[in-house]
This record gives sequence, structure tokens and C-alpha cells, in this order.
Amino acid sequence: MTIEGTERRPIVLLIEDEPILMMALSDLIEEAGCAVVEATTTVKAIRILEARMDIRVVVADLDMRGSAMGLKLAALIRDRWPPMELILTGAVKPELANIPARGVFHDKPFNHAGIVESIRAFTSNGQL
Amino acid sequence: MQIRLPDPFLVSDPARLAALDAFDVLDTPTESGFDDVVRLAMRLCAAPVALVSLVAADRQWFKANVGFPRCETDLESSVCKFALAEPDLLIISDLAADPRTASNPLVTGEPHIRFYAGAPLRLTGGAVVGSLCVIDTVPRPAGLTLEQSDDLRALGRQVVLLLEARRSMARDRAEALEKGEAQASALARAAVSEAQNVSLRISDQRSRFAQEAGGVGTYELAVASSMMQVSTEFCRLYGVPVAPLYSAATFEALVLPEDAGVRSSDASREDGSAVLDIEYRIRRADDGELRWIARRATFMRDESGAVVAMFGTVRDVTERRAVQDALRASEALAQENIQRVQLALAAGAIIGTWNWDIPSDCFTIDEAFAQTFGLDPVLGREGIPLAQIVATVHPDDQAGLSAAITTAILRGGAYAHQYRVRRADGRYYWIEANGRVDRAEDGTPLSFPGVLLDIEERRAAQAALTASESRLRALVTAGAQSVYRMSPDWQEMRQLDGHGFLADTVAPSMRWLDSYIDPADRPEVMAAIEDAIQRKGTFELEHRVRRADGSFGWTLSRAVPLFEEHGEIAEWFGAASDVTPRRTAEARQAALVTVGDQLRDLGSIPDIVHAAAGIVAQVLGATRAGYGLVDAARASVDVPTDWCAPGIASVAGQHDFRDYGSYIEDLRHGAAVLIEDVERDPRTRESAATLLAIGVRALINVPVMERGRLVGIGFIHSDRSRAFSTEELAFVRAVADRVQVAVARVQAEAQQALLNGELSHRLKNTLSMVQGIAGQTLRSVPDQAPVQAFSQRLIALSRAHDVLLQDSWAAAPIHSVVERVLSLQSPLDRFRIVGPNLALSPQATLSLSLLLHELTTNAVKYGALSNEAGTVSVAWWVEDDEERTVVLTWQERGGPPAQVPTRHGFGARLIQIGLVGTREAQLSYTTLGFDAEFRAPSSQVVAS
Repeated sequence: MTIEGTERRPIVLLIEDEPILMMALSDLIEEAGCAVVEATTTVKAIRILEARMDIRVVVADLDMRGSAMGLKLAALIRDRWPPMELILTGAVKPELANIPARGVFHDKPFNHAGIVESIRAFTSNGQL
Repeated sequence: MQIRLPDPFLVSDPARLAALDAFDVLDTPTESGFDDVVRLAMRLCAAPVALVSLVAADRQWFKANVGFPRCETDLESSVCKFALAEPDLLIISDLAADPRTASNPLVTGEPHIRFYAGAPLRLTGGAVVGSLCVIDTVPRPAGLTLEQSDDLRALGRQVVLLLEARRSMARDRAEALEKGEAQASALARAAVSEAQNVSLRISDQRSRFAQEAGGVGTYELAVASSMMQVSTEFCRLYGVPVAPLYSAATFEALVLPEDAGVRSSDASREDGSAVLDIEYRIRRADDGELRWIARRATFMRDESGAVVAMFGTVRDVTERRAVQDALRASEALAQENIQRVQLALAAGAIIGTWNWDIPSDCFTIDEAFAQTFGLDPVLGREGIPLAQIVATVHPDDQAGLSAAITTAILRGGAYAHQYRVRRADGRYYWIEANGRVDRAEDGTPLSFPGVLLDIEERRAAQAALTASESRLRALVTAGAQSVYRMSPDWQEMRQLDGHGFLADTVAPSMRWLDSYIDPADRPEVMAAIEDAIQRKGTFELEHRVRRADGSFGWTLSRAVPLFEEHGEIAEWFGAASDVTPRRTAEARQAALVTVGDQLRDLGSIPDIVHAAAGIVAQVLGATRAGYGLVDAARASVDVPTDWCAPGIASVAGQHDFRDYGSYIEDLRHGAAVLIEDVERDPRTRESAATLLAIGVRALINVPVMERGRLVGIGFIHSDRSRAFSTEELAFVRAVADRVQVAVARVQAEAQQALLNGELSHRLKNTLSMVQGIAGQTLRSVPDQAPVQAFSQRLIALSRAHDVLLQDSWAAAPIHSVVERVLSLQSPLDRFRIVGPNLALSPQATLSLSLLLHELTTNAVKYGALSNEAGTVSVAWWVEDDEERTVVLTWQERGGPPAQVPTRHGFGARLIQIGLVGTREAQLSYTTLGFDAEFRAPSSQVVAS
């Protein structure tokens, strides 16, 4: 809760189970001027969302190991926390119809500039 | 070292070589069916080489070949010859280590083959003609997997099927052609000449048939020699063998001694005293029967008046005499007696009898006479005015008739006159009145009895027609099931004798097309008929026809025109043979080929099942056909789709084994199930109501087995009871096998696509990891530009893989590759992209992607894309020079003047090495902008 008190930057929840990608994506989120909260599993991610009210953007990797969640997690988040913005990544682009409304998809390997731009677009309006 | 040599008997086995020879397949062009098999074998066994190898006496020749540089080899180099002796697969895991093959030139030299697996091609008769084999250039200690072995065996069987189908098709086609041609030409020749004969004979023989109908013979007697030229009928009347020339004495000897004074003799002829019109009795030569002969004669004289010949007619008048005798005695006879006589005469050409009592001028006629001319029979018995009789005579003939009667009464004796009378039906018919005037001793005419003979010309012609027809019938109908007669314009079918093949006609019909010909076939049939009418020539057509049992079959129908005197067609006489078995066999063969062609191109299981089912149902006339995939674990059959006739519901969906009743066990053991009628067959009697409810009365179920397990069921349903032939069953089996092969292919392809997808997934994940590691490793480097360039190149490479994935990494369309890479850094509307469609090889895809990526990066940094106005033209084409060169150009316009770069980094080097590393890159930097041209051999750029 200390972060909530002191942190002035927008907060982004990053869901990723691959440590190297976690590092790379964390860097991109910070480069976009945001603070990162990391979750390595979907269960942890949902707990964090339930516990914190200050998260506005979720960056999630659809290729999570050992879990068929992927798009289902994205749909669940959109369902339970409708205002939440979704930035999704993955090796294979899913059917457009399966991406929740307002969701953005980024191909792997990452186009750094593109991801940074997406995060900025979602966090720049309505902040403060 | 003990070397096991192949049994030479097997290679040179005459039966085996004869079987191979019978295929007539050596040195024929490639055929897609065999090519498909070797491609599948190559893919399934993951081998670089697959062959259909046929082992002849002196060489092995490859009907299909992938990956092997030659189309045949001598037997010294053959490994396949060893497969001939194998009961099952021949697998040699290391050819260099096996004593049989260690010294084989293909092993010791190019192309250095090391592994061999072959399935012997064993024909139905047991002979082995070669092998379907896969070959690798590295040894495989583990040989083939269990699945691969099974696949190779199955494909081997397919090759045998293909070979046998190919042979029987060729043979059938040749036989049908030969037989058809011979038959057609022989029959056409015979039919045409017979038709000509008939038309000639009808007019020529008309007089003869008229003679026969009237019982008139003709003769000509040469007085000097006493030799007689006589007609056929003459001979018949006298009962002597038919011959043109006889001695007069032959016939004179037959005349009864009592009448010898009446007949002519050498003397009476010579001096011209012979009576011209006489009647005498003879003993007919062949049966000794007493006959009355009426002879009329004329003398032919020379200039001096001497008689040189006598000619005339003879007629058997026995019946008339009998009638006359009866009539003479009949005045007292009761009516029934007359009737008895009448009945006796009813069968002949006699229409009726009359008696004219001259003193009382009472003219009486019998009932037959009265009916024929529409007169009152009562009046006829009691007496009828002669005028009323004469009124029915044709106006043109009335005067002649009166004169003839007058003459006869005055002269007495025999009377004969021909004239036309109107019958009850209103039409005029030719008749002959044949009578005799009896006179009293003093010459007073007493009575004039006689008979009317029907000599209607039509009747004579008809008789001629019938006689000729029977010969024609024998000729045309040889081997034909049905014969028919049609009106000249074919509007009316006068008669058809179906003999079990076609339905008989009950009466002449104008609606015969409705009865026999399907509406869809009518235009073709009518066109052939009109053509035959136009030509006045033989009609011949093979067409579908409704058979006596209501089903449609095929007939070879042939008809010849019969001509009238004036060359008009009198009618058509035809014969129809049942060629259904041959046609259906042909249809089945053609259908197998079509099934093969269609299944090859189809990519989904429902499409495959639907296409095959439709073809089979059409060929067999079934109301439903389909194929079910068996899930042994769930004991169920999944029918993805089926083909149904209009009005028949589909049975697509999941079916439990239990639904199949007791015969599922037969299917599981690989036995086909044929049921002619579900209500009568013990296997389905109990569940008949269920089956009938879905329109199944007869059925075929064919199991498809793999490794002894039931994997599929092909089914044919019919809504009416019917039997199925063994040929039909074999056909369904063959199609079901092909469907299963196609289904297995689709499943394998789906599996492959899944693997490709997974591989792509992992590749891109790995690339993103590499990207992440590089980013983290170089995080502290102050100049991040090279890190970003690296990252961008990875992305370009990844895009190239995306495009390649579309076609399983075999090829990529150049437009997709170009657009995906260019769009990474700049909107596509800044580019003008022009070039033909090319399928890029994988190597060229990666190379072009990296090259375009570097060019775009430079354009964005320094060139035409660095401002808002510039554009880039990207163009490519293939130059038709010796080795076909692919040329790619890059032209920047609207940007700042181009500067020769001072630094030579990785990007610049990538550009300089050009397309697929050829280093053929021409770069020019002008004030207009940067231009580049890259060249590379088409063989390296375009996918093979």
C-alpha cells in the first residue's frame, strides 16, 4: 500500500511467466513512464487486481505456460473490470473477434516502439 | 563369406514377366496416381527418395520417381529385385553392411544409397512385379517405425490397385472398341444391303407374292422342244421341286387319265388346236393329292403363223370347285351345312361366295360376303338385286365388270375378273371374282356361282414384307434382346417385343418415348432418329432405356428402314441389345478415375466423403451413399456427411455400433455386408422398421481395415429391394479404400499444419527471448541504436517466417513477403510495388526480407522516407536469359539527394551481398535519390 501512497506514475500490471521477457517488457513499461506490478501466473494476477484499485492497464502474454488461459484471462478481466485497458502479446496473432474490445495485440518478437506507444496511449488520458 | 543371391527363378519367372508384360506399362509417361503414391511414401517415411520400381527381365524401370536421378537401372544395381522374394517388406537398414548389396554400384558410388525399405507389388494372382520403395542416403539402424511400415504396405497395395485398374481399363477400352467396331460395321453393312435387298425385292417380288396370294403360277412352253419355263408358284401348284425349267411331259403325266383329252399335247400345241382356257385334275406330285387346275393360255406365233410357244397361267381351283360343287348341291342344303363350308374356307383368301340363279335372277351371297361389303346378310340369303352389288364397285371398274359378266354368261364356263370394290370401311380393295357359268344341255345359262378372292395389293406387299422381315429379323436380332417396328417418322411405335429386357407393347403407341426414354436423354435420341430419317440410313445409338423392371439400363439400338416401291420409307425395323453390363462396368471404371482425381484435390473430410459418395450413388443408382469414420474406443461411427437422392434424409452424424444390429461383427472382422431386403435378411429383420423409416431397404456396408482394425465403413443405401453384383461390391470397396487413403492424407496434413503452427509459435517465442536477452545484455551501452537495429532485424526475419508458414515452409508468395517487411517501418502507401507473382524459396524469403528491411531502414533515416513526400518504387521481374535471372530494383524519389555512405556496417554489407548472397548489387547515389538493382538466378530464388 506504500506504493499507492507515493507512486505518482500510472500503474501497469504485467502478466508474464518467462523471466527474460518479463524483464524486457518491464523495461518497456517503465520507458513509457509507468510503474510495473508483475504477476507470473494468472491466479496471482487476479488476486492483485482484486486487491488493488489503482491499476488501469494490463499487459498480458497469451503464451502462458501450463495454462490455457490466454484469451480467457483477457475476457475475464474485461468482464470483471470493464474499464481496464488490455495490451496482449503472443507469438501467433489470435482471431480479431477473440480480442476483447479496445484490446491491442503485439506480435513477437516485440516492436519496442509500438508497445511503448500503446502503453502511453492508454495511460496519458484521464490520469491525475 | 556366404552371399545370399536372389532366386534367379523369381527375377526371370516367366509367369511374373508375363504378368508385368500384360500391364504394358514399361516406358510409359508418368501418371499422377503413381506420382501421388511415391510423394506420400516419401513424406510418410521421411525419406529423400521414393520409387515405384518394376523389375523386368533385364532392368528395373521406375513408373514413379521422386528424388532419384535416373528413370531405370540395370539389374546389377537393383535392390528391388530382392524384394520380389520377400513375403512382406524388405528392409535393409544399412546397404553397405548387407552382403546382398554391399557391392551394389549405387551403394559404392553415386548416389551412395544406404537405406532401403520396399513393399513388394504382389498382384491378385500372386506374381510380384516390383516394389514400392523408399531409399535414404544414411543408414537407419531402426528401420521404419511400425506406422511407416504399415503405411508403406498400404501404399504398395494402392500401387497394385492402380496397376490393375489401369490394365483392365485399357483392356476394356480396347475390347469394347474392337468388338463395337466389328459389330457395328458388320451389322451396318448387312443391314444396309439387306435393306436395299428388301426394297428391291418388295417391288420385284410383289408380283410373285401376288401370285402366291392368288395361287397363280405362270409358264412359257417352247413348242419345238416341249420345255417349259415355270414360276415358283407353278412348281408349288404341281407339287414338284422348284426349278425354272421342266419338260412338259412332267406335268402332262400328272394330269388324270380322265382329263387327258382336255389338256394340251405336243400335237394340239403344234397345230394350235389346244384349248386355251381349261380346267383339269392332277395328282399333285409331292403328296399325290387330287387338285383342280385352271389353266389359261395364249399362243405365240411366228411370222408364218406357226405356233412357237404357248404361255399363260395356272391356278389351283380345287377349293372353288369344291365350293361350286357344294353350292350346286346346296339348294337343298341346310344353312348349317353352308356355314361349315364357310368355316373351312375362312382361313384362306376367299372373302365369300355367291350364287346367281340366272332363270330367277336371284343373287344370293353368304354372310362373309355380306359383311365384307356392308350388305344385309338376311337380304343376301334371300336375294339381292345385282345393281346393289355393282353399286359397291369402283366407278372406273363398273363397265368392265358388266362386260365380263355378259361375256361369261354368253360363253359359259370359267369366269375370272379383277376389280375394286368398296368395303364396309369405305375403302376400295382389289378383289378377284372367280366363278363359272353352268349351262343346260341346250346352252341356256342356269347358274353362276363363284367365290371372291382377296388380292388386295397391300396384302401382297404386306406378305412380302413379312417374309423379308423375318430374314431381316434373324439378321438384326442376332444377339439382341428386343425387336421393334416404328412408323416412317418414328412418331408411332407399331410393335416392340421386349423378350424380358424391355416391356412389350400392348398396342401401337404414340407415347413410346414416355415409356422407354428418360426426358433427359430424349434430345440425343431424337437427334439420332432425325439424322437416320434424313439419311434414310441405319439408325444406331447407344442410349439409356427403361427396362422391363422399371429401372434404367443401357441399350445398343439399331434400326434399318424398309422401303416402299417409290423409295419412301414403309417402316423401320429395329433391334435393341442390352449393353447394361458393359456400360456399367465402363461407368464404374470411369468413376474410379474421377474419384481418384477429385479426392486428390479436396482438402476436407466432408468434401471427400461427399464427392466420392455422389459418384458412387450415381453409378450404382443408389438413393444414399456415404462413409463413416470408426472410433473403436467409443464403439461409434462418425458419418461426416453423405450424398442423398432428392427426398431422402441424411444420416450424417454419430452412430453407435449398436445401431448397426448384429452385422457390425461382420464389419469388424472385415467382411462386407450386402442386404437385398432388410425385411427378409435375418440380420436386419428385427430392426427392419427402423431402417425402412430412414429409407433403407437394400444396402451395402464395406469395412475398411487398417492393421486388422476397422477404421471406416463405406455404405450404399437403396430405398427399394435390389441385389448387388460382385462387381458392384468390388467397386464400392475400391472407392471406400480410396476415401480412407484421402481421409488419412487430410488427417496427416492437419497434423502437419498443427506441428507447423507449434513450431512457428516456439520459433517466435525464442526470437523474442533472443531479443530480450540482447536488450538486457546491452542495457548499459549508451548508444542504444545498434540494439534497436538488431531488434528490428529480428522482427523482419520473424515476418518472413510468418509468410513461409502459410505453405509449410516450402514457398512464400513474393507480394506477401515484400508487403509484410515494408509495412514494418512505413505505411505501404509510400511504396509503389510492381512485379509478377513468384513463389520464393525459403532461403530467398529470408534473404529478401533482411535486404528490404535494411533498404527501408536507410530510406527512413536518410532517403525518400525521411520526409513526408518521398516514395519508393520496388519492382521485380524475371529475365528470360540463359539461366533465367530474377531482377529486383529499388528506386527512391522525392527525398533529399542520396549520399554515398561513409560507414560500412552490417546493414550496408547486407545490401552489398544482395539477393541470396550473389553480390550482384548495383547501387547508385544521385541527386534524385538512391537506386539499387539486385540480380540472382531464378533457380535459387523461386521455389521448386
